[in-house]
Amino acid sequence: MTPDATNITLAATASVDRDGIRGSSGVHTTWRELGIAAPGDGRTFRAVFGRSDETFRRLDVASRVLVLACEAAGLDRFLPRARRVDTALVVETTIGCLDADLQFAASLRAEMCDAPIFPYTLPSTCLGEVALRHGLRGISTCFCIAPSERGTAELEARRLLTTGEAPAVLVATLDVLARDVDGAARECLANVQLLVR
Amino acid sequence: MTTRVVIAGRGAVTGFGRGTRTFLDATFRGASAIAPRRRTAPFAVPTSVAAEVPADVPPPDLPPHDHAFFFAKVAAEEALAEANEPARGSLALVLASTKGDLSGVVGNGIGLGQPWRLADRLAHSLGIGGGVTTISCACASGLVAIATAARRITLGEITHALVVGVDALHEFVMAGFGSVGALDPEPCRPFDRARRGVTLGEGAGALLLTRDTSRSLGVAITGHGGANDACHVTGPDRQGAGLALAARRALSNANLTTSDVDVLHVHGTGTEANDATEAIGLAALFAGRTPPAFGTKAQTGHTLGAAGVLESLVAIEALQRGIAATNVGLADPSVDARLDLVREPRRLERSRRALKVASGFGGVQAAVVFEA
Repeated sequence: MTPDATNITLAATASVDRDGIRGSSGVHTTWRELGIAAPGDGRTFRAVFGRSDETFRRLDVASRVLVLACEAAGLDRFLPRARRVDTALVVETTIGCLDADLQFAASLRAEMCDAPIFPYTLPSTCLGEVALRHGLRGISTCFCIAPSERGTAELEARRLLTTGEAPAVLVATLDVLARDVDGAARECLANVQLLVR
Repeated sequence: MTTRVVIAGRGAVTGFGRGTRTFLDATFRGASAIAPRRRTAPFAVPTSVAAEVPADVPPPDLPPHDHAFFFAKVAAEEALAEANEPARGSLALVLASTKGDLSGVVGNGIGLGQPWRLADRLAHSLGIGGGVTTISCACASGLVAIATAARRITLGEITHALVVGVDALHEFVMAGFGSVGALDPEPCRPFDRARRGVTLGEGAGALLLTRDTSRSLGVAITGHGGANDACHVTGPDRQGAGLALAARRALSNANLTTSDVDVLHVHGTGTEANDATEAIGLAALFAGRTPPAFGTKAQTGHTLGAAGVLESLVAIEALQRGIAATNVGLADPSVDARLDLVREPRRLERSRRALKVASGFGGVQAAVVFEA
């Protein structure tokens, strides 16, 4: 049995990329309009949504971009509270948490260990940031994928919907790197979809 | 789950050395691989101990960034051999790791802490042609990988899969745990009043899963479940609700109830918060006294991405021996007393079903049901 699209619908979607932020919440803005370069900074959430997020500025850059995308999708509007306990999260990433890794490694070299960034040196931590903001308590999975494996997360989401393990799945492709690194290019991308059965 | 997913092969590299039998015999004997740091002694971290893979296991000239690959390959080859070498062309690889190879992040290299690179290298090296999937869900990675593979077999997408969990000790990770105050300066003591944190370990575990029941070693995966605490990215839910939810979902997936569970293999890291909340969550799940429960991180150290797979090997062995092993280092329990922590090896009244649970940063919770 191959997961199929039967009875699966797209309830919300958003993307954050090098151009800007847009999603089914109605948000549509560019980095130029915001007056800052992608992927933004600790004030971007307030600048885009007009309200504060208490911990946004303390997040690593990848988590910030994913949080922005989920907010732009309008999860709180399109996902009823009663369904959130079973809503799964599936994230795929190629770059992973390389930015946080490099930040933490630099702090070790400087012998000033950057403890707050350490939890973000795991690619699944960003998923937790989304889960706690929106109360999503379903199955949580983070795939680290080669560039040729895009779509892994959506396929897994369809499996979860097909097997009945989740009635709704938040799927994300997340690749953020805000610096130049040998072997990896700068990137700012978060595509999120809320798939429901 | 309807299609039966059976275990056909096992592999392990741990602080006890090379091989599943070495690992399991040591575990059930009550031994511990935690010892004064040797290879990792130069690392500036606030603990005197770790569970390092013995120095005579990797080749002496192996670069440090190749340890994870070497451990994974050795464990995988053992599992493939025990499974009588299934066709590798159609074999899927599901690899679980937190950091894989950190070269390029620390020092030169191309690992970049991106575990998919390690998985691709391993698949190529082993001639695995049925697809590669890489899971990085912190300390729950191994169980999530097992669930991912079992789900695909159940859906009929693949017939067999090699699940490998791996991580190698690195100053980056050890210093990180130290920086957040999570390392016990001495050997860890999960669930004990004197516990002060985690002892890190390293290694790899492998499981060959298949729908071909003629290859079964006598144990099947009959359920799996997951959840998210959705309350904090590093700390657990104070009521252990996420862990209990994952376990409840795994039991439901297996069409079982809590009364069907004969033995629990717990996460038991040795941190104050994890052990306390895990006990509360499991006691709530079982609505009282739990089945015999034991953990093995005081023996292997916390092997992070390898833990879920290695500890599944222990849970399977508990069913096959009909024995729950001792919680090593547990002298004075100080968690919810309804968690029935085993203090001496205990013969199980019934040994049909084991429940294995795990938790990780990001609030990730996972559970798998094994059935003999």
